[in-house]
Amino acid sequence: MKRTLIETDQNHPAIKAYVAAIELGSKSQYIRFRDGIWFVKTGLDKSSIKTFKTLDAAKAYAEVNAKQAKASMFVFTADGEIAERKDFN
Amino acid sequence: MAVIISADELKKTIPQYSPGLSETVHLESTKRADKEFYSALKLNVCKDVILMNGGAAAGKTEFLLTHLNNLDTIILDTTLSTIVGAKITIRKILKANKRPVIYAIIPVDLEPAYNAFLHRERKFSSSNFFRTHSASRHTLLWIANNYENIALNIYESTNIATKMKFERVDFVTHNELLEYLKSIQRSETDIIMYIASKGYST
Repeated sequence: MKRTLIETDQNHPAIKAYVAAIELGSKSQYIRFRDGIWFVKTGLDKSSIKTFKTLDAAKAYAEVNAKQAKASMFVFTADGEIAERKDFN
Repeated sequence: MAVIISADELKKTIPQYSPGLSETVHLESTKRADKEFYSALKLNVCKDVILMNGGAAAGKTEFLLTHLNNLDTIILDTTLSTIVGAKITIRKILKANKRPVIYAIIPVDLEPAYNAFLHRERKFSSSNFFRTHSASRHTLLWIANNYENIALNIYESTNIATKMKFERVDFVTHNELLEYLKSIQRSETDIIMYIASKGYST
């Protein structure tokens, strides 16, 4: 098996749009519930997690951050579905 | 120039479409894409017909627009996520006396792909991401097992430091290809668990 990197035009609009979507994701707020605690994760950084006792408190924190970053806030269900979404971009 | 047939592009021709309603009009746009594809098979003189393969937001459209667009061919921009659908499409291509060629785009890490999926213009439920990433790999293995003569072009996509990269993966033997395809199989539960482990759900 051999892997070969192929040149890709990073300025192509489709590539730029894809990269921009990931960049936006790195600023968004992701809320989930586990063992009686609400967790808020910022972007791709798992170490950035904050915990809250209530969903309202988690959402209040996440919305402020999402608004500031012009990103989005998601609340996830246990099976990974999106229960709520707010876009601020 | 390639003739590109994409259900996502055809959605824009449906009057009630908006990016937030992508899932609602998906069945209708898929039907339109099939009709357009079968018509192109009859009318186009090209020999090769490219079928894209890969889950939602794997980078298929980005790959084909940057690497396949100049080929004189028909390209069906699809996830190829059902075996039944793949079987019908391959039979139609062969019946048209053309040669099916598969281009599969496999994200090395599903988390950036999931992020792109969540934040791109077209909105789908997360189950669409989990299902298509599992099922498209399953279909790819099925094709490799059942159509040894069909060319499978495998590309792994990565997103590091704001760059989207594609690596072509070549195999010395068909067995080596099969082993690779077996190694990348993921159930929907596997994918849900992986995404959850990254902090997106319980």
